[in-house]
This record gives sequence, C-alpha cells and structure tokens, in this order.
Amino acid sequence: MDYRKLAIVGEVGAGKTMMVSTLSEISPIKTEAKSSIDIGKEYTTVGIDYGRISLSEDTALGLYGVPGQERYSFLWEIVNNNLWGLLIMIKFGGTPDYENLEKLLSFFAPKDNETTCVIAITHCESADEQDLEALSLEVQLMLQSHQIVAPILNVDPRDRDSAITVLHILNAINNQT
Amino acid sequence: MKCITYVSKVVARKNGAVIPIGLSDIFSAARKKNAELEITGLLSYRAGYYIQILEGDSDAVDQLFSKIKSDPRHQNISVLFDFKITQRSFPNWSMKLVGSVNKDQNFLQFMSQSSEKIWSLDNTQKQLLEVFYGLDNTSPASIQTYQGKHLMLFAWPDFRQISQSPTVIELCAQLTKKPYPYESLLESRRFGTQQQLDKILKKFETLEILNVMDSLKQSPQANQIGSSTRFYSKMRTFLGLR
Repeated sequence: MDYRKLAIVGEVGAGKTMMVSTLSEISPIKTEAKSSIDIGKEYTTVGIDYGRISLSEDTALGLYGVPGQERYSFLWEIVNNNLWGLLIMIKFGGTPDYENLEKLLSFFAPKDNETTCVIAITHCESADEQDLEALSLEVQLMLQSHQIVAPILNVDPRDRDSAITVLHILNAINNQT
Repeated sequence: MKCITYVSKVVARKNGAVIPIGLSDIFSAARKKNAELEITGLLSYRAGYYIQILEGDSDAVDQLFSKIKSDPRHQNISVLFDFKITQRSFPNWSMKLVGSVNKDQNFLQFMSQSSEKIWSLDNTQKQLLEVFYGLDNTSPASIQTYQGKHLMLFAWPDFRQISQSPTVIELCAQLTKKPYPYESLLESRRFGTQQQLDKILKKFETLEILNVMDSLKQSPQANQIGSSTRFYSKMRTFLGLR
C-alpha cells in the first residue's frame, strides 16, 4: 500500500475541517466540540479531522486536519512523518498569529525535511484585493525569513475546484527532483 | 499641501528575526484613515525597513505623522523629505503598497523630481534611502541570457501579478526545491519556446523572486521511476489532468 499524508494545519476558524470534508471521499471523522469561548463559531476542532482520497486500489492520500495551536502539538507529532505535503491555512482578517505560525514552521521544518508546503489564505471571497496583497506580502516575507519557498493561494475550502488546486500544486512540486 | 517621506526600522521579534509583522494592518488602517483625511502616498518594505510617503493638506499630514511616530511598530524614524508641494505624486492612491519601489513609476518620478533634495541629505539619510533606491541611478543589470545558469525561486509569485496558468505553476514547481539548469528547462519543452520561457523568467526577475546562479557542478537527477513517480501519476489521473 502506497499511503501518503497531507497535514492541514491552521488557526481556529481557518477552514481545516471544511477542507478535509471537501476533499475526502469518505465521511470525514470529525473531532469538533462546542467552543466554551467566543471564537466566532460554535464548534472547533479539538483533535484530528481525518479524510482519505483513494488514488487506486493500493494508493491513497490521507488528509489530516490538525489544530494550529501549540497546545495541540502532540497531534502534530502524530502526523509529522512520511508527509506528502503540509498545507498551512491562514484566515484573512487581522494580523495572523505569527508567533504560533513560527512554532509550527519550526516543528514541521519543511525546509529541513524537504516537505512540500503550501499556504492557503481563506475567508477572502469578499476581501479587498489590496488588503489581500498586503497580507500575502507579509506572509511571504515571513516564509523567506525561514527560507521556505511556498506558494500563497487564496482558497475557498467549501469549493471543490479551489481545494483541488491545492492538490494540483502540491503534486507538481513533489514531482520535481 | 506638503509631503513627508520617512524611513523607519521594523521592530525585531523576540527570536531576533526582523519580519514586518503588522504590515497588512498598517496598510489596511492607513488606507482607511488616509481616505478620510485625503492623504495619499506610498508604503514599501525592504530588508528590515519601511519607507512611507505621505502627501496632502499640511496639517493633516503633520497630525498623521505625529501619530506614526508614537506607533510602537516603527523604530528609529528618520525623515528624509519634508517639503511643500503643489501637486501630488500619488494622486490615485490613499496608500500604494509597493514591493520594489525601484520599479514603481510613481516613485521613480517622485525621486526624479526630488533629485536636488536628495543631495542635501546627510550620509545616514542617504544610506537609509539606498536600502530602497539606488542613488547611483543604476538598477542591477537585467540578465541578458540564462544560458549556462541554474535557476531557483526565492519565493512564489503573487498570482495577482502574473497569470496562474498551468505553465507558470509547473515552472514555479520546478524551481521551488533545487536550482535547475536553464538548458534542461528548455529541452523539456514543457514551458513553450525559448522566447515564451524567457518571458516568464524575465517577469520573475521583475518581481525579484528569481535567483540566477552560475552553473553548479551536479546536474539534477532524472526523474526516478519509483513510488513517488507512480503516486504523482495517479494523483494527476485523480485530478483529471491526464
């Protein structure tokens, strides 16, 4: 069995659960719980959201949506081996939590581990183009400080075509030697 | 009306890294506030420094600048220009965010109109300006030919500035992880004719995301027919690309 893993990591409300749901061929195993504080939505992920894409009888991609907060780093450890890709989801609106993002990048170390990385900016359907450009530039400069070369895409996790674009780009980068 | 141009240092993070955290917030807030005050201008970041140009009603500009001076996201603010104007250089921009001011026509025109004032700057001010703008008026020579060079990206392009076409994506993917010889790009014919390939590479250069290196000793290995290649092919089939 050729089985690879895509880790989907990001802050609360970035759309990890939706991304897994949109891409998965099986009903995803969700681990959402009612939030006890106001985070802008009623439920939040407290474990791993798991989904799967079968590419053939003996080949599959596992989708692992894991919370981006450092207190869930024990979940990062579970998914951080044999990674086919690392998708970091950032919610548009306000400055992202870069301190946490840096911890995440230090842990997954995509540069050292040669893990293909893509950044998805979500919730940007009605965002101002110039504000989006400013956020992309800010994220890009942060990536460059970690010597990470990765595309920054506007992604709507509810939209299958948009979600598929992420797989297309991850696949294209992974195929290069 | 007046114009103030200043350079400020980005506050270093706890781990010592200098990243313009808050750039998007500064930009977004500036656009809203400036539109209210009818202030126009430019904002750019490079190598740990911001440069900002503010132009508009004298009182409004002074008032705004005094707020900026007390903003903890700026350090060591140094005013380069502070002069009266009769005409704006950025009339259509409540705040224009520019990746590289050296390639921005509005900025270049602004600098050419300010050439006399540049020479009255002291050495420290000139050094700060040179972080963004070459005072010798020579921009780095564009690479004439990529023959014999290895290429790699510093960063992926912002797809608002270049088409997100399959060819561009494939080329970016090829240049993401390792330096790759130009000749191999050409021979693969995956990126069109030499002219078409060069056009995309030139655009990458303009965006300052292309690292052009002298030839490296080792050539890239040919794609291994192994599990990774099989996985890639199966994923392409799944994506409907084959």
